[in-house]
Amino acid sequence: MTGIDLSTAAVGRTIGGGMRRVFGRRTPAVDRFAFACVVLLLLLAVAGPFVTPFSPYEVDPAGALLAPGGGHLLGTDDAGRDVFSRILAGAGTTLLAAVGIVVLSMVVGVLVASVAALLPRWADEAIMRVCDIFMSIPSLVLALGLAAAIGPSLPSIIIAMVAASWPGTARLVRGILRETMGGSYVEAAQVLGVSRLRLMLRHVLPNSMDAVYVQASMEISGTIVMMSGLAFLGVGAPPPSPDWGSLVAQGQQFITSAWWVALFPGVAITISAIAFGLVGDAVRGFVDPASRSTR
Amino acid sequence: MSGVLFQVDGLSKRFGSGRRAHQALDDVSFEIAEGEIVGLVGESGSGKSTIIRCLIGLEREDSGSIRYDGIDPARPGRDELRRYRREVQMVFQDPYSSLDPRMTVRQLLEEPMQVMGGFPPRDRMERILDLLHLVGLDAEHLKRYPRDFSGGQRQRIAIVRALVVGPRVLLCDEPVSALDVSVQAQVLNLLKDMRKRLDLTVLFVSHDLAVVKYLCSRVVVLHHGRVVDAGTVAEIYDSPRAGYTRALLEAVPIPDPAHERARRELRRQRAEAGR
Amino acid sequence: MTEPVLSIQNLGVRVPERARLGGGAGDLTVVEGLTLEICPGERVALVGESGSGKSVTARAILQLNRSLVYDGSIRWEGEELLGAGERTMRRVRGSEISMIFQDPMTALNPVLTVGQQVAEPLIVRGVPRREALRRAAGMLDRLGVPKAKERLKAYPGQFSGGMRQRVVMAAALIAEPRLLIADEPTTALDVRVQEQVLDLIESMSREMSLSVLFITHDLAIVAGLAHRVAVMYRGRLVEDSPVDELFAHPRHAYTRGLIGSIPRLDADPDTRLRTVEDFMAMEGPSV
Repeated sequence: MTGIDLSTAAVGRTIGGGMRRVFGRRTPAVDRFAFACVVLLLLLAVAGPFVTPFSPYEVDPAGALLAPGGGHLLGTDDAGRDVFSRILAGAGTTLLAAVGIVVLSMVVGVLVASVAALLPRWADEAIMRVCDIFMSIPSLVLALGLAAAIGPSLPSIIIAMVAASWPGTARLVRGILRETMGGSYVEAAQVLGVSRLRLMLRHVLPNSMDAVYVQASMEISGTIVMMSGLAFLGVGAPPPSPDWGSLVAQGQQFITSAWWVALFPGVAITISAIAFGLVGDAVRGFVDPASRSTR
Repeated sequence: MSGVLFQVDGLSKRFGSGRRAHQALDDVSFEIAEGEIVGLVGESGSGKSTIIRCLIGLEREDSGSIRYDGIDPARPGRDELRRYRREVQMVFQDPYSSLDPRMTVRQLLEEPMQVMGGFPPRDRMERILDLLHLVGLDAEHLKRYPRDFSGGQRQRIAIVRALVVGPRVLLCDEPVSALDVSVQAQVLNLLKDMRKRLDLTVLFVSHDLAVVKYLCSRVVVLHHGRVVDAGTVAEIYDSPRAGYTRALLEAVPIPDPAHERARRELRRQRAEAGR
Repeated sequence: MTEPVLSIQNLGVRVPERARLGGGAGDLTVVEGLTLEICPGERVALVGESGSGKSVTARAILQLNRSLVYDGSIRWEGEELLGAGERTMRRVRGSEISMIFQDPMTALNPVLTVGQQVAEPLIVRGVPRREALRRAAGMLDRLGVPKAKERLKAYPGQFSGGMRQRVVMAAALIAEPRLLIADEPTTALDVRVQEQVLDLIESMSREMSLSVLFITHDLAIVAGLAHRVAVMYRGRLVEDSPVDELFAHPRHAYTRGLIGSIPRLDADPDTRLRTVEDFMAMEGPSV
């Protein structure tokens, strides 16, 4: 009945219970659909490369730019490679990298924010100002510059994107921590003589993680779009890697004659971005009792 | 006294199902006659908020009925709903959250009249100013926002907001329990004055028996969703029938040190004797 | 007369300009020239309405709000607390001076068990876990939590408001402090539970010769509990009297207003409540 019960329960004590909640009757149909999409997408990300109907890499000049239908569900590209197979093969790179980037960015952000919260006020302020400076540079530009400097490869994209996104995350997590620290049980523990470090580890962080998870799930969709953007701008994984951004970039030149080469990877990006976005929203609904109906 | 305005009959409401079900209301019946102030008393979880929610149509009863002057607020006709919304107004517990922080006092007070209709724009300001003066505020406050006011002033604004459409009935859900005692006294005096001046009927929900005694003419005591005691103020306070009412009355502190110390001593002896 | 354990001399508290919520120029004075002493075993009520500075004063004792500017002196058994380091404050907090808060629903960490939280003040002071938990069960039992030992493993969400306030009190008292600061500890509770909590504070104070600083806006609550009542108005102490004298002969108009504001079960409902404004108007603008 109280907010506290809901928020602790919402972390999902067991996977089974979590799944029952997610797909239960009380979850709106849209959210259930989004959860299903995300589960499917993550499965594809892992299994995709192994279930491709055609080789995603084998060049076949004779079968170039075939329209969708016929033997190739989504058509072929300029080198005669099956677009559907390439999307499947690229799912892993795109989605797992996006999740990885968000997780890393959250880890760095939580660490920086917790350290800042423990330090004296002036040091806390200084760290946050540094974050502000980083944040004032558009993250796409920052990531673009960093990735170009390290050289185009998947790890460099991940490094660049984490480097570009952690200051924002740290700032946000600092805000979440500040709110938790204002909670009266934190003050009550402080009054009983608990040290600041212990206060952080036992009282503040465990009660802030819900909000951090919500934030993370919301960031994934933006990250997918941004990664694809980077790939599109040419600093993605090097060819012939089939990550979705690169697929759109490669297809762009035939957009008037063979629209399917660019369109279907674009659709994949859109669907995943929307699905992850909806799931992020739904996770907030589970965790934050204020956005749920009360009874 | 004139006729019955509200008739609550056998109201029952259950939340949840199976093992986690919770009987919020169990066969609750009472009446409010025109011009009365009825106090609805109970602790947290007694079901008093659920009654209010049923009365304003936010919750539908499982069984039983509510009648207001021939209207069933849960299933009103179209015109009936308009009349009900206009004649029955509500004052909430928390003056900090019941007023939209982004609206000025003027907007807050005009809104009910715009929504209800039937108030020519020329007359609106006059109505607002008349009521503001009654509660001790004036025209210069109109441009300000809720955050510029203290808790007591906000609750006065909330009361004006409820009164501005000229209701017959005011439903008050713990309107003073979030306020300091000193501010509470001002709002209680105000409610008492307004009731007389505007000829209002009031349902006053509260957990505080001393407040209810000061304001109300009749009292209904709720416990675990049931009516355990009901009667005039004299009946309830001088000779409470239910043990629960007696227990509640005994727990109300009285601002008299010697009396309070003696009572604590008595409780201690009773506890030791019970051991 | 015995030596006071706590001696607040001429305390001033200001909110510095940069920390003022909603802006405003210059520092904002919230407490000014406050002098208050508490003797061993004495129960003192600090009464005033919200914004009077009573909570700020309580927090100043434990140095909880570091963004405020303090002057004057707060001596705890002779030792100056104003500006004391984190080390000193950690020693004092919990084991010498403890505090409980208004809302027992939010004063407990929802993800830790009741046992972990009640035992925490002992564990952070190096008491072995098992011993700490054993003593936690003992303290909960003393405070009237039924089946205390089994309920050590329960989470706060499974407790009612009154039981939670007992848990909060157990954590506050387990390290046997000599002063308990209670900041409106019953405001969020039903009357019957309020009475139980007040009785507990009174009996613990006698059994442990614990001094109590009880903060409230409601004089009726402290009538039977406090030895002495100090009344704050707009950041200043306007009256500090033994409880019987304060109720019998309130000196300050504001105090008379506070007493007049209380609806009484033993009064005729037709007698109008006399508010602070009524009394202040009679006195004129002398305050």
